[in-house]
Amino acid sequence: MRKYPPNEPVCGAIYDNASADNPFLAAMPEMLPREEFLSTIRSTPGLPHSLPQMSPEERRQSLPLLSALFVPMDYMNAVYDQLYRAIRETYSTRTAVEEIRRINVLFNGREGIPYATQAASGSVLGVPGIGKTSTIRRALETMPQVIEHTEYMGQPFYCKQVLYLRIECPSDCSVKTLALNLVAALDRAIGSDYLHQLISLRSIAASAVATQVKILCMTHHVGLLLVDEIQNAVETARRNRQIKPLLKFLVELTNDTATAVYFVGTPVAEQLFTSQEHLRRRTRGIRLLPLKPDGTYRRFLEQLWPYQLTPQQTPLTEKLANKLFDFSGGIPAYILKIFQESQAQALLQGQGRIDERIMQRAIDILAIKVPKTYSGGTYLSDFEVNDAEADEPPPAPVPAALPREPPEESPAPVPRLYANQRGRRAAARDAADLVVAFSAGGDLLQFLRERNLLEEWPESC
Amino acid sequence: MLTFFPAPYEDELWYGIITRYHIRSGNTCWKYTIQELFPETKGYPRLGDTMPNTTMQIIAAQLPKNVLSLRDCALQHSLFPFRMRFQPLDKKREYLQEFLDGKNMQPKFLFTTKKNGAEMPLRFCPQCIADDGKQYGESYWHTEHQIASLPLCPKHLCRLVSMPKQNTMPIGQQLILPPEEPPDADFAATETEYSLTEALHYMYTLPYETSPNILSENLSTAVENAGFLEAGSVLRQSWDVQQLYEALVERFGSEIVVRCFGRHITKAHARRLRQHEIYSTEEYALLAVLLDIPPPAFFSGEALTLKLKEKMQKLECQGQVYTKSRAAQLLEIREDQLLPYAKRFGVRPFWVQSGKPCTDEKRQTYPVTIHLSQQERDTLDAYMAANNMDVYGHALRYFMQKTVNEWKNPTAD
Repeated sequence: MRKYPPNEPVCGAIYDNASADNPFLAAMPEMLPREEFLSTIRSTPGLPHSLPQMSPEERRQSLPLLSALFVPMDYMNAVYDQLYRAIRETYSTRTAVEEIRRINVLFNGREGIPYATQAASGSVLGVPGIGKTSTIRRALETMPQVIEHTEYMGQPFYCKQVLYLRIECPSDCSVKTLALNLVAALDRAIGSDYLHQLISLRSIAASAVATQVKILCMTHHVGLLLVDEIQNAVETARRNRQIKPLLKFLVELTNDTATAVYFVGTPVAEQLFTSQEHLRRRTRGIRLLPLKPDGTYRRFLEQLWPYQLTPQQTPLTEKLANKLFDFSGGIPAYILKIFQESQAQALLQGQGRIDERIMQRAIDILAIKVPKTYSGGTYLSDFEVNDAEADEPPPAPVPAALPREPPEESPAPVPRLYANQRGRRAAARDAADLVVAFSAGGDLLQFLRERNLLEEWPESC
Repeated sequence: MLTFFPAPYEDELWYGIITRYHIRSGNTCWKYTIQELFPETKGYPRLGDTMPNTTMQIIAAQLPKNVLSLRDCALQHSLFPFRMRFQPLDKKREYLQEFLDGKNMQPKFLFTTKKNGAEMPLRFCPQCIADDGKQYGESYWHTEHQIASLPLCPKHLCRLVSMPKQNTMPIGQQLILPPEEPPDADFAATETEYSLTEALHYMYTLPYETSPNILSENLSTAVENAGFLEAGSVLRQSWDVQQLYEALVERFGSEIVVRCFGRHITKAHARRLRQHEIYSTEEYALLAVLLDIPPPAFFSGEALTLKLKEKMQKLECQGQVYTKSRAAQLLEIREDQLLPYAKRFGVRPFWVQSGKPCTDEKRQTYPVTIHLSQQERDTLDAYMAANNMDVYGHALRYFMQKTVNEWKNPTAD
């Protein structure tokens, strides 16, 4: 039985046995076990009942249902785990009294005493199309966005605890725009009207908006701030060098309000994060690489494959799977796109089902270009948890709460993977070929002697 | 619907709660907070009042049920219970109910402020600011500190400080918290300030339902004990309002007396005070301190002792006969007041009665000759000297009256 009903963005607070002076921590939703989390985020739209009777046009019209398909993978649980812990850390860091003290400090523009511990911060970077945003959105949707408090321990206590806010990094990289984005997200979450009020003040300074945003984050007890598309900041930074104020604001926000901040974006942002030591420390996190052509990929395809709206079903062959992998680079969004377009092309061509030729045509039309190298990271496949291990009942509640560390990341750039080996086929060489002997790396003289290929002078000479 | 509202602290002024909302909203300007909270209100809402008003009702309507209790707002976050302290219980209940029903009480209670004229500045205790900061993380405006005549903080007994005016705007149009760095606390208070603080604090902290005992004559008794009765007004017991006002000014200073009583106390005002028809708690508190009335005496059924009555009864019981002048001297009243007081208190005269002027038919003189031995004569002289008797005839009349009275009323005494 879950503490809060799923897919309810606003819930009344339910308190458990957390410390008496911290209603926000007491009202936190519980962390979901892996299996429950994965089944919660799964989305498997039903195929139309009248599919066999549908015309090709109707079938093409139904193809967008593939966009609603969401296949859960183990890396998603790792992302959820990080975000959940970040939210919890925010509420552990600041007590109610400390929060009030901090609001007054901010309001009066004084220098405050730093928090005893820092709020969590980090980043989730990954190749475009890998599913970062969808994963984060679905992970966060497993908990209510807003918890409404009206009474705590018999005393009136009216406030709305915003567990998380998702905003996009403004393309102009301005602090004011980011702050206004944040206020708009807050308005959407709790039904307030701060944005209208702020934009009506034409001459308000960016610093004043920033201060108000910090205060609002404290007043509404924002647990986690997710800044998506952080690569926008890098691109703008290159143009007009405005990145520093924006990042400074976000760092200040973390320090002043103890609100966890997570950045989400493509690996382009990594160069920005590593440019300064304090930023590097605050932006560590999961770096996602595409799927490997392995079992995880095959399981992904197996869940995708039944969604064929063509009159006939094509079985999932090794050849098709490899082709799909090689042209999608193992990026789930591309896999889905090619699969969808292949069906559209098959229907357009009057074909009963997809085949290699149709798929190639779809690939050509989509003109997908997969990068040849990626900056370091962890392949989606490497997050996979051994099912046997996962099925075991947890021995005690403690392991469930412990974070599952993702496999170690490799900082060096990694080449993209192919299902079908690329390049010229290796020429067949004789066993006595010197190149073969050299490649084997043994004692070359011994090799030559054994094969009687060495001409040696007699010792008497 | 508001998205948050600060939980009121203990004894926090309503204005202070709104001020804390302003700070939590992060608004850069008071105006925006006021617009946010009172979008339908034209002009500025009366936030600076110390009495409950429609601002509480407007806010409560924008919050979920049970978050903000109007009853608590009126009774715990305004001076309503203090100002209503001397109202009869049925009136108190009626006013509170009217407020809870959404009526605006403001016009009815204009009398509470009409003497004040200019708006009083908000006041704070430097020690409370430090304590609140430690306990709650911020300081706030205490309702009790806003009682205009309260000189000291009842908790710390240091002098209350008025918030310096930063501009000419009324308090209700600006939302300010007490200063974060207050001046040093001033503990050099006078005995009068301690007494007044104690009296006001007592009246402030009584339960709302506690009303004065209208049958009690303790105030009149205290006025009489303190000698503020008009000369010759033994039966009517009129107060010497001039003398009383001067004593008040001498004790408390003219500023506070003028604020509470005005420039003088009229006879009618004094009569209404005596009959508990004046509802200003501060007036009663000042009188309590001046006349040395324990504050509970206004509310309990216990009657204060009238010192003169007690003295007269004591002298009567002693069984001695005084001359009229001596009796008046002992009671510290005039000779002509002796008999009226004796009648009022039901005391038999214990001084020589010259008798009322009678007609000749009624009055007869009986010459009496008493033969005494020298020893008897000496004893009588000693008795008369001990009892301040000058004339043998008075002594004889006393002995005769006493013996005859005892014979007539054998059960008396």
